[in-house]
Formats: sequence, structure tokens, C-alpha cells
Amino acid sequence: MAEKKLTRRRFLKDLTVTCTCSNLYVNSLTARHALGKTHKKYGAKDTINMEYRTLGRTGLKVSALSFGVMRLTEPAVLFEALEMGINYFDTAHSYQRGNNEKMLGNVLKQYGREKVFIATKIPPYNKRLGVKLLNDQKSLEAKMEESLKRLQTDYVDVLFLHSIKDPALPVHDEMLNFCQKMKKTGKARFVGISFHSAGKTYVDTVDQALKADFYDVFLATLNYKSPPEHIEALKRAQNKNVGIVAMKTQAGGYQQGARESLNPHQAALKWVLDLRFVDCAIPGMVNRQQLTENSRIIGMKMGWSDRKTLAVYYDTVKDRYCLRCGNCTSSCKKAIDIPTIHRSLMYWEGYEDFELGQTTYRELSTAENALACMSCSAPTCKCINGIKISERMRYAHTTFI
Amino acid sequence: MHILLLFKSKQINVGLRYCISFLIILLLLVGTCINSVAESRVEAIFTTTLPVSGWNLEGQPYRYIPQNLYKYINGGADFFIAYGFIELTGANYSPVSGERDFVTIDIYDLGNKLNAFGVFQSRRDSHVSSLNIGTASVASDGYIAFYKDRFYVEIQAYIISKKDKGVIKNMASSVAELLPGENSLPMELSYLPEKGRIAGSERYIRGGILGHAFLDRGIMCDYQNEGEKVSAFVAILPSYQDAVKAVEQHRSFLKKSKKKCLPLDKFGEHSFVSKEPYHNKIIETQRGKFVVGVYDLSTIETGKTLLADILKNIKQTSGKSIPQ
Repeated sequence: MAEKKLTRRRFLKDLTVTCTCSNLYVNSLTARHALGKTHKKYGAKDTINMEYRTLGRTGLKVSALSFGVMRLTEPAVLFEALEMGINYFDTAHSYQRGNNEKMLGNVLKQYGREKVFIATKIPPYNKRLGVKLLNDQKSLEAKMEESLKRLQTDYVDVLFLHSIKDPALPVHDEMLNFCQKMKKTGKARFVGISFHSAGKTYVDTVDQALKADFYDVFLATLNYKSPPEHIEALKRAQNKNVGIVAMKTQAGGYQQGARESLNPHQAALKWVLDLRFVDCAIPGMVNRQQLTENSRIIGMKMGWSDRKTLAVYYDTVKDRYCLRCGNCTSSCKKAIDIPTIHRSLMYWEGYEDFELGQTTYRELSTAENALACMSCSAPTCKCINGIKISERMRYAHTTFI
Repeated sequence: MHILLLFKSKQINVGLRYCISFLIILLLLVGTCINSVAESRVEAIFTTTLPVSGWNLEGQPYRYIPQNLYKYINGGADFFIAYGFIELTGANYSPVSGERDFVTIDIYDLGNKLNAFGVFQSRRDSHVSSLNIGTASVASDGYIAFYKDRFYVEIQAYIISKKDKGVIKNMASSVAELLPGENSLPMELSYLPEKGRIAGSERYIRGGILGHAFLDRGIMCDYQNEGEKVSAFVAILPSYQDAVKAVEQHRSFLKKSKKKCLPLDKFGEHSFVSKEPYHNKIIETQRGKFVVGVYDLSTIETGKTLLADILKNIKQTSGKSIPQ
């Protein structure tokens, strides 16, 4: 092939064309990102290239999007998840009083136990929380046997001590002995703790468990509202090669509709999975639509438009999303039942169940509902998280009455 | 309004006016009192009306609302919240003798009968025996669960002493008796024909029948139908339009899953026969705000009679004015 002679004119012409094309391409990418058209619309059927990560020192290669089975009752959704490549399933001894473990066990028996990882949780506390009575080793073992039977398996991949509330518990002898025995007998390949405590207890729990240098995995609440100290604590755990499984990733449950390319639910999940120390997340899913929606984010990086979506979403909900601290109750002189009114609004705005919101609101007496807020000229109610309580109360009253 | 007009018209004397005003105020006060009595009735079960000889209430009854239920039952709270959870009132009892035995009673208020039924069924163990307590109950060693009206109750006990073994059952019976409401099944269950129904398989689903968000809630159960086990559902949608839309969404899901959707003769415009992933053949139709389906069928003929019977029951229960 005859080579064209490179002249000054030709060089300048090629340079101009290359620059223009590159510029146009970059601009179009930026615009697509800004307008949120990077991703396929929810509902379109396509294949998912599942991403797998190593779960800390366990070495298990788990799907970044894993499955919180907790509320699920329909086995078909699990089969669909398995087809997508999800291989880590989280349940607990107490979910649906064992029926959840039974359903998971039935599905995995058909699919092939050895192809997947099962995590279950055994409650360390006796139900009487008031006296903080701990289950003894014998009853923990009995519960574990029952769980294995329901799951139709001889072992679980990860056994968690369920919902640790006291930072001293991970180093409690009874708990350590139980976990050690389960590992030794092969009934649990790895052990861990789960916790959703708030503030300092969260950090102390992580640090105490790290001190024990025994637990392989932490299952922890983690979402875009998590305070920096929680994130730092989990980073410390990851530095010690502890596997991190994130739960409650989409805090709040508020949906914004399908008008954006990436809805806030997806953005919230992606935010968590983009944290380097997170090995997998276990959003609770109850139907195919949620599964499809969550699976869309696999393989994507969190772009600035997604962060913007999340920020806008947070801005939208921050003045109405009740963090359930209960501090507001005493600030209202008229004794309005603020938490219940917030709950009514949550049913409507969060779960999209107007009827339930209205019923809940209408069950309040006129002394407790927001009738008095309608004419209140000097509201004393205060929310330490910035919710404009009096506005929200008035809104609830006009919506539900 | 009429009373106000009467007041204005001056057709009644001042004394009578005062009397009427007094009566109105009295009625309002009685109404308020009745309301607060009803509200505190559940807690009163523990504080005043559940004396069991030899057993004492430990401290005060406790209460949890959706915002803090997770503190009590961890992740399980989401499940109850999805079923309309309003409030949990509970209490612990211990023996006067000072033994370590205890009984814990938890009463979940779920707002309506259907929700209470849904929670009870989803948590019941089909292998444990039932007792004659509440609308339906199950019992095993140291455990009784039942539901009555809008309430779902769980009682757990740790009792060593032989003489106290019957305490848990006595407590359950007392609670069931004291709870307000009636001991009848949710009306929606009557949509499902009794013939061939597998006892205990009835359930109320929230979150997606067959895993479909567009069939968000409804009742389901299993049948022994001509030698095979099949399942039926009645999805309850907010309106006729929503039901029609749900059938269309289901059809479009099946088409995307490369399943053929054929019309189902004699069951109306919004009906079809297809193959549901992981559930063999399915027949489905819409009536009013309901979407009705039978699945896990090896042949569609076996399901048609059942589908027709469900439609007949819906018509009988909901009246004749259901639009097709």
C-alpha cells in the first residue's frame, strides 16, 4: 500500500479532525452521564456479568450482589438469582420462624448445595432482652442443628452470631466456645458477627471483635448515611482481612419512580459496593423486579451523575426521613404523636401504601393527630436531624384527613 | 346541622338548649373515653386482667413500634412491617417460687385480620399440632402462636417445674379471650374453594405473588387436584384498571421469558394460558380488581374447573356488580 506523504497541511488537517472527534466523544459521554442515559432502562432483559469478590480471609469468591433472603417466600426468585450468578444467600434461624431457612434449603437442594454459599445466624440472646439473658452453648448448638436440618445441609459457609448489641459479647466465653466447636466439627466453615447498633456501640463492637482475632466475617449495617466512624471501623476490619458483608444498604426504602436512568435505590446500593472494603451486599429482595433492578448496577462504576442522584435523593428525604431517635416527642408541648404521624407518612411515601398510611393516621385521636399543628403559630417541636416537623405534621393532616 | 338550626330558630327555650348542649358534651366525652379504653385494652391484659396463680408480671409491659421493632427482633422486623405492623405489646412472667422459669407473651397488632392471618401462616410450622385457641393456633414444647382478629400472638416459655407445664396454655387461652375482636377467618379466604384444598397451605402474600411485583398482594393455597398438587392465587389489586394492567404486565413478562401466551377460552378478554418459569403451566384471568390464577399444572384442563370455582366464589362474596 502506497504510504501518503506527511505534509504540514496534512498534519494540521489530521490533527484538527482527531481533536474535534475526541472532543465530541468526550462531550457526548459527559452529556450522557449528566442526563443519566448511560444505563439501560429498568425492565430490559439482558445478561449480567456478575462480579465476584473475595470475602476476606475466608477466601470464598462471593457475588458482589448477594441475596438477603429474609422476607422472601417465592422460590422462583431464588432460582432466577442463581441463574444470574448470585452465589451467597443470607438467612437466619429466626426468619419466618424457620420457614425461610426451609425454603432456601429446598431450592439449594435442587440447584446443588456445593455451588453456593449459605450464611445463617443464630441468636445469642434469649428473647427476654430486658434481662439480657444469653443462650447457653447447649441451646446455641441445638438451634444450629435445627437450622442445618431446615437447610438440608451438613454445614453452613458462614455462621453469624445474630445482632450483637453488647460489644463484650463477641469475646464472651460461651460464644467463643460455641463458634469454635462449630468450626471444629465442620458445621460452620467460617464464623462472624452481625450488628446494626448505632453510634459508639457499633465502633466498639467492631474493635472488640477484632481484638478477639477470631471472627472471619462481619455483617454490618452500611449505607450512604453511615457516619464516617462506622466506615473507618469497617476499614480497620478489612485491614485485618475480615470479610465485610453490607446490609441495610438502601436505607429508607423511599422510591422516586423510574424517571431517572439510575434510581436512588440502585445508586444507594452502588455507593456501598463502590467502597473498596465491602466484599458483598445483601439487599433484601422479595420479587423479580427488585432483583433485576439491583442486578443492573453490577459492573458499573459510581459516576458523578449517580452521586448527584443520591445527593438529590438524600436532599429530598433528609427533611422527612425519620431516623427514629425519639427526641422530638418531648419537644412538642401539645403532646402530638409525632413518631406515629411520621410512620403514617412513611407508609404512604416509602411503601406507597396510602390506605395503610391513612388508616394509621386516622387511628390517632384528635388530641394526638396533627389537628393542633394546623393552627400552631409557635411550634416548639424540634428534630435534631433537621426534619421540619411542623410542616410534615400539617402535610400529614391535609393528606390523610 | 339540624340541631344548630333548631338553636338558631329560637323554637326551644334556654333550659332545653342547655340540656342539649350538656348531652352533646357528655356524648363526646364518652366517645373519647371509649377510644382510650380501646387503645389501652391490650396493655391492660397484662397489667390488670391476666392473673395466673403462682406467676407474677415482671416489671412493666413493653411496647415496640415500627421504628424500633428491630431492637427486639432484629432483621425479622421488616417482615412484620411489610404486613402492616402497628405495635407490639408484650410482657414477661416469672413464678412466685423464684425458679428460673419464665413465660414471654408478645401481642402484635397488625391492623387487620388478613395481615394477622398472613403473619401466622408464614411463621407456622406445618408439623406442629394445633390447639383450640383464637382463630387458629399452633403449639410445640414451650411455644404457642395464634391469631385473633387483627392480633398475632406468640408465647414462649421455659418451664421445668411439672406442675406449671399447663401454665402456657392457660395464659394463651386467657389472652385469646381478652383480646378484642372476633374469631373468624378473613373474608378473603372464602374466595378459595374448600374442595381439594390442602389444609394449612393457605397464605397471604405481600411483596409479589410468584415473585412478581405487579401481583403485589393476595391469597394463595395448594390443592390436590386430580392426583396432582397445584396452586391457586387471588391477587388483590387497588382497582379494575390495575388488575387489567397486572395481567398485561404478566403477559409481557412471560413473552420476554420466551414463553408462549395463548388466550384462555371462556374466561374473558384478560386471560391467558402460558408456562410460568419454575412453575409449569399457568392459567390466569382477571375479574374486577382481582387477578386469579392456577399454576403448577401438567395440563390446563385440570385447572379450569378450579379457576371457574374461584371466580364463582369471588362473585358470590363480592356481589354481582363486579365488572368483567
